[in-house]
Amino acid sequence: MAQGEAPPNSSSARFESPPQPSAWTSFAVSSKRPYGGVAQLVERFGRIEEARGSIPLTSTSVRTAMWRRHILKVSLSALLLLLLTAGCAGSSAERLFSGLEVDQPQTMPDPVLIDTQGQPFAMRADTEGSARLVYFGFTSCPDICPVHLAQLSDVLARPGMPPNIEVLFVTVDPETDTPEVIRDFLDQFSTEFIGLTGTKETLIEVQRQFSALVARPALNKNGENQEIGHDGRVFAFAPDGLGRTQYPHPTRQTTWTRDLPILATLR
Amino acid sequence: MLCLIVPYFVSQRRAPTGIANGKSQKRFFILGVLLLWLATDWPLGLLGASYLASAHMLQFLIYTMAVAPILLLGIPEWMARRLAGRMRLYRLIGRCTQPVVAGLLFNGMLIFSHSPWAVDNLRATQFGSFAMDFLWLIGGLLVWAPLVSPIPEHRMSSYPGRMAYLFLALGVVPAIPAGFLTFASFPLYAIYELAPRVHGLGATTDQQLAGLVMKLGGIPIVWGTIAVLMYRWSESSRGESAGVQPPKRSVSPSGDLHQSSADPDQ
Repeated sequence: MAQGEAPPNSSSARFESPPQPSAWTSFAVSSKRPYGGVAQLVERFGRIEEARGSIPLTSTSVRTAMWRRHILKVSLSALLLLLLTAGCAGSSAERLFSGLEVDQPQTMPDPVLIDTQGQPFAMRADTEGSARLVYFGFTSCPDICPVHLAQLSDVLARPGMPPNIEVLFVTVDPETDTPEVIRDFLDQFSTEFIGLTGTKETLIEVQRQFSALVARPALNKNGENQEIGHDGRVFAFAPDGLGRTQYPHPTRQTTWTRDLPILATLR
Repeated sequence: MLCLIVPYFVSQRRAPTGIANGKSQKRFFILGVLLLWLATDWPLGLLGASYLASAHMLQFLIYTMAVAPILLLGIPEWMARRLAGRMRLYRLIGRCTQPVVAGLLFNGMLIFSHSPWAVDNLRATQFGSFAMDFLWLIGGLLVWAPLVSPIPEHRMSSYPGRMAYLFLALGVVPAIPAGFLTFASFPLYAIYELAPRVHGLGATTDQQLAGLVMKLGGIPIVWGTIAVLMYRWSESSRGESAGVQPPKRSVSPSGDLHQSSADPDQ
């Protein structure tokens, strides 16, 4: 479309007189703006189109809108930067663990269960002086349990890991998981892992004491028991007996390797 | 698989008259498709997509070092020309199969497709997994084209050039990600680290195995091909010095198809 020619669209029909070429001239003279980049391009486009008469905006309204948008962008960016800075400063200063840190650490409960030798085992008293990683699972679990245990096995076998870390695997399926079955299952990962069981009622109570989600059978479409829905978190207690942090599924080895030496030193 | 086999045999029936359809080419093509199936389907496909980094690497090796060159050897010249012409890809293929471009594209693809970001995101979905397999196949076809392209003008002519290209494009750069995988102290790929273990194979051990597969798996193919090229080069030099025209090395039996090398895109 030629410059100064009125476009045939309806919006420009509101303008009776065609736009003056002076708008173009003033743009060329005042092309140096205190702000640049996209804003300047948009304004330039607006003013060119205005000069052509294809958009019904005045120079002032375009400039005002652009300035407002520009100020808004700058403010938002500054706010974001401030939040990020504050977040980073806070995380480095306050967070000790990469896992889910517990705001108010609670003392580890000390229920007595049955270990894989068939002997009574007090979860806290019999692991005194060690960091404890407590996990509620079942031996026929297809995914979460074996992955957690394999990760822990790999991590604890790394050189430089503190020796005072105990993994306590508490079954949530006592009917299937006899002490022998648990031992066989745990031995696939480590012979050092401690397996615990008890009566159904005791195990439900123990899960409640640890504030874990109580495991329940998940039904399939036919209403039959298919597998067991259970808490996927590993509850980590320092040697001082306080539950400092928790590790959901999935937790990567880098996280474990960073956190466990710190946890083991909190006496 | 059917998308490859059916058009191949249908177009074989529509071959230009006077051109013999080489049996060896058909065999190469079928072998290529079988290897593609082996690398894509259960169990290797499943293990590579979700469980083992080493299986993932073996898949990569089969796609790029075996399937791609064998498929190229199985495509007759007339079919490649017809395909490139109909899809208006002749010029693009010509540019992409220039040795430097092909080498850069393949190694760029290799580094991208083995980055933790790409593996963790693409392998997480079936479509992403397919995209990665497809990327490997295209990368393999590109990198082998300067050596065994069915279109003669896309092939490199000098033996030393081919050997140098093979070494640089397929032997040097893969050592970098292979080194990272072998010597990393932690598993790099979350998808394999957090998958249930297969036969008790630890995530770090599996990754180290993947690095070794990447580093060592390609050696027999690359150096075997270099040895063959060297032998042919010596044969060709001997023939030239004896004043006898050496037998023309041709991967395509349709060398008598005197088509113009003019750009069929136009």
